[in-house]
Formats: sequence, structure tokens, C-alpha cells
Amino acid sequence: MPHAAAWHHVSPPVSRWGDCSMSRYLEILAMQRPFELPNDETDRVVWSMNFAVTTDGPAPTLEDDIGTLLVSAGLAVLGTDTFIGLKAQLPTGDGPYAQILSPSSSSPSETHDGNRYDHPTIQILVRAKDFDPSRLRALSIYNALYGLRNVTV
Amino acid sequence: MPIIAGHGAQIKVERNPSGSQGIFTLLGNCSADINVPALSRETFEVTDHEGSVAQHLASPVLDTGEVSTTVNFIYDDAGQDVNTGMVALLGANTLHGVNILGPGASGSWIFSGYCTMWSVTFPLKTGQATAEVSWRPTGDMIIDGVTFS
Repeated sequence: MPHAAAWHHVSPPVSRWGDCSMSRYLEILAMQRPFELPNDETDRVVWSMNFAVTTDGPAPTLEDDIGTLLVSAGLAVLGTDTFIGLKAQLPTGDGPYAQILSPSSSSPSETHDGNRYDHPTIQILVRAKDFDPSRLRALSIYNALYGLRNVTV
Repeated sequence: MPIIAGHGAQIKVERNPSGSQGIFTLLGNCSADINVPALSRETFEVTDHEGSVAQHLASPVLDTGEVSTTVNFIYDDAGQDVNTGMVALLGANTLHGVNILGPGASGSWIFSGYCTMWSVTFPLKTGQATAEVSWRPTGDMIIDGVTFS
């Protein structure tokens, strides 16, 4: 006979979805090596790269967290050479300036007991007056972020 | 009750059948379909030479199919680990209770069984670590309070 004569259920674990104090990222994977786009409106060289991200929880400040990771890697000074979002006002100088965007996302994955893992993408644009600084900064950012796994910001 | 989405089903495991019998604890992080044991009966043809239409009998023995699912692997989770979790039950070959609950109180299946597989996979490139787990039910089942014996 099954052991079910008198049973009580242990409460299921509370979904971590409500805890937004820290964000955890299972993976930050480059979708491609940085590539060159047409020059921008001020004729600066533009390099672009995209990352597929898997979040363990809501990650409400994803773009800022990416900036924080770059700061930790010594590759960014937020508000000076690195900016968040499309509306950020980039300086008109020679650069290089990085811009962190979140252009798209795919359907989240989930578990039956309420855990959810979002799959946003991150795009980083690097602009500079000259080709070499733009490419160098783009590749440095690519190498720093590529393959980061199980990180908490 | 109208048709329902399948999300929100639960598997609960009796982790300590020899000690605290009948206490079922949620096996969390199920990231795949959860199937309940399939119920089936083998059939036998018993058509005789005088018959012109095939005749069959169903076995008096009700068979219950295996249960399997996939969980996100958490190495120190008490429901999974080698001390109190599925690895412990599998290693000790312990007969234990399993309770599968449909979402929103849409059904309950309770059976005794053995954990027959715990297989961990670490993907190379993308995706979380997962573990496949299977049970082989044996003996009676209780479905929505009705005992099948």
C-alpha cells in the first residue's frame, strides 16, 4: 500500500521572482563577434555586438548591470564613456563611447513551481571618430562579457 | 471544471518513508512535462474456431507505467542531493511514496515506487544544468482518493 494514510504537504518554496535586490545571470553569451555598422550621424565609426542573456529572476536593471560588469572589468565609466538606453545623450567627442541597449527578448522558460528565466538580448554599440579605437573597445567589451555564467550583480 | 493549462503541476516525494511516513515534500524546479503513471491492461485474444468476430479479454492485472520528468539541477538541494534527496533514495533503493498533483487541485495520483534514474546533464554551450528523474510505480495506486488495488 502507498504510504499515504495520513500525510501533510510541506509548503512549496516561494518563487524567487519577488526578490529584486540582486540580479543573477545564468549566462551572457555573445551572438556574434563585434561587427562594423555604417558610420553614425556624426560620421563616427560604429561597432556593434549582441548578447543572449538568461536571467535567474526578473533582472529589472539588466542594462545597468551589464554596465556594472564592464566597470568591474575596468572597461567603462558610466556616464562618461558608457551610457544606458536609446535616449542617452552621447558626447560629441572622439570617443570611444559605448551604449548599452536591450533590443529584444524571446519567450521565458519556467518551472512548474513558479521560477521564471527570461531570455533578453543586449546590444552594445561602440562609437569613435577613428576605426582602431572603436574596434579595440568593442573587442575588449566582447571578450569581457562573453561566456560569463552564474554571476550575481 | 473547464479544461485547464498544464502548468503548475507538482511532484511530491516521501523522502523518509522509514521514518516520517506519509510526509510528501515538493520536488521543486521541474522544468519539463510531468506525466502521471499510465494505466493499462494487457489484452488477450480468445477467439475460438466457432467465432466469426475476434474476441478479447483484458488482463485482471492493471499495469502502471513509469513516471519521468526533468528538474533544474541544484546540487545542494535537499530534494535532489545525496543526503536526503532523490540521489539518496535511488542509492538506497528505497521504496517510497510519490504524489503527483494536477494544477489547481485538478487531480491527485499517489503511488509507491522506486527511483530508477537520476541523470545529470551539464550543457556545453547554453542552458542550465538539468537532471532527469524516473520512478517505477509498484502496487496499489490512489487516484483522487480512490484506491486501485
